[in-house]
Amino acid sequence: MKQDPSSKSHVQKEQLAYAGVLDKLSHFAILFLAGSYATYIFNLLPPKVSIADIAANWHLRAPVMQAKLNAPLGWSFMSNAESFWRGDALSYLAIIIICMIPVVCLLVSAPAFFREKRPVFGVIALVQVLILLVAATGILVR
Amino acid sequence: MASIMQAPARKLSPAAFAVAGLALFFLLLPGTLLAAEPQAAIEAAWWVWVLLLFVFSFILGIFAVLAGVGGGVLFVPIVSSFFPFHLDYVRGAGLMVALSGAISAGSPLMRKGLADLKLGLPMALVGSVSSIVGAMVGLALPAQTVQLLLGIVIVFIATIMFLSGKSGYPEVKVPDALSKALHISGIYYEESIKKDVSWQVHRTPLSLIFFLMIGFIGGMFGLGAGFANVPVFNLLMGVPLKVSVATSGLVLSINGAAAAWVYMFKGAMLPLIAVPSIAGMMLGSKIGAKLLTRVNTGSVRIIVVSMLAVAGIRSLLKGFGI
Repeated sequence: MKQDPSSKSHVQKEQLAYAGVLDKLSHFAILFLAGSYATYIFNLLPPKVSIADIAANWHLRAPVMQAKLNAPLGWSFMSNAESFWRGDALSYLAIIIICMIPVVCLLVSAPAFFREKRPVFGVIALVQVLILLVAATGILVR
Repeated sequence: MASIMQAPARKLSPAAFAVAGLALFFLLLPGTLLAAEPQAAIEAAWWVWVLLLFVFSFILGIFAVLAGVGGGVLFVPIVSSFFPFHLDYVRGAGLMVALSGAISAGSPLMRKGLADLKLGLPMALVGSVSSIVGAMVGLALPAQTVQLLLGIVIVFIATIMFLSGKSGYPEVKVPDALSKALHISGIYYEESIKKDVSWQVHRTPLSLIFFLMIGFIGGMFGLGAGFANVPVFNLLMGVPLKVSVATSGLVLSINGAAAAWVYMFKGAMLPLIAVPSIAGMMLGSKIGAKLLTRVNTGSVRIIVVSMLAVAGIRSLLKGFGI
């Protein structure tokens, strides 16, 4: 892990752990975002809902468009292989990956907090993970 | 650091006022002339809008960095005013724009000790809960009400940006009990003065309440909340400006990730709109960062505040159905 020499003595280990994972995941997410979007707009993988249909309805409120088009929503696109290997679903997955990055970073840094005898922050990190995972299940909006 | 450094006085060029005036003129044109109304917009091919969105986000990215504001706060009011997309999708994309920018910039800032995990985590914890609630409220309210409230918030932000100062190295003589108990303090190496700068904080409980409110507003309107996080860290808690800006990104990456799920499960996240916005804003931010040393940032800030004010007024007008 590359570290700024000027700050070597000041930056705590849990923070370096967070930064290391963040660095790798953010690069991966950006590449995945670009690749999946290319499959979507260039129709390399057919989308579940055509781009023309989305564009014809993007002035409507989200629930109205959803009722009309049944576009990928939450984790719905992962229910089977047929709905997964689609341009719009993969682009959607890229957005999900970005949203999951803080969860992974916190999970990596939490044990480091405990090891460094900062258990309060270890607990805060785990509670934060719990909040993000509860949000990711969608139970709050059903 | 004992001394309080105010931001240096900025030299303002007349060209900035001219450009700001021009921006005001174009931004105040009726929507139909700009083909921004949904009825007119349907006529254009989808790829024209997607391409325009990418270019627009790219330009916004440059301006956002030069003006020292987050991308999300510019993105939502302007794109919702001038593009044919419903505000629901613009807010979803706005959250992703703010979140992606913070995530891509986060790692080096953390390694340098500028973004501080111990400072950011408690604030993100309260902010993420309220941002989820804010997103739920925002998607449940009538669109016109949200547009109206967005207008009020944006005009307020523009006013704050115009009036507020910054403190490079605020002085905190006595840290509060909570920050002492949590050991919220730090040291970072300040390259401009080739010295270590140590900092501690005060007013932590009050700041937690502020972050609760900021999270709600950020989630409700899909704004990256850097415009509010930074003053609370810097002016209220006494965190050095650079640490405030960097840690604000950490907080909004967590808050944004929490609220984004509400938009996803409500069908308000369209990759067709969100991805070019993210890509444009990220590329623009990189260019903006390179231009930072060569451009008169004071002038850019006037342009951006003007754009923000006018976008806020347009949001207000749309909210009133005008």
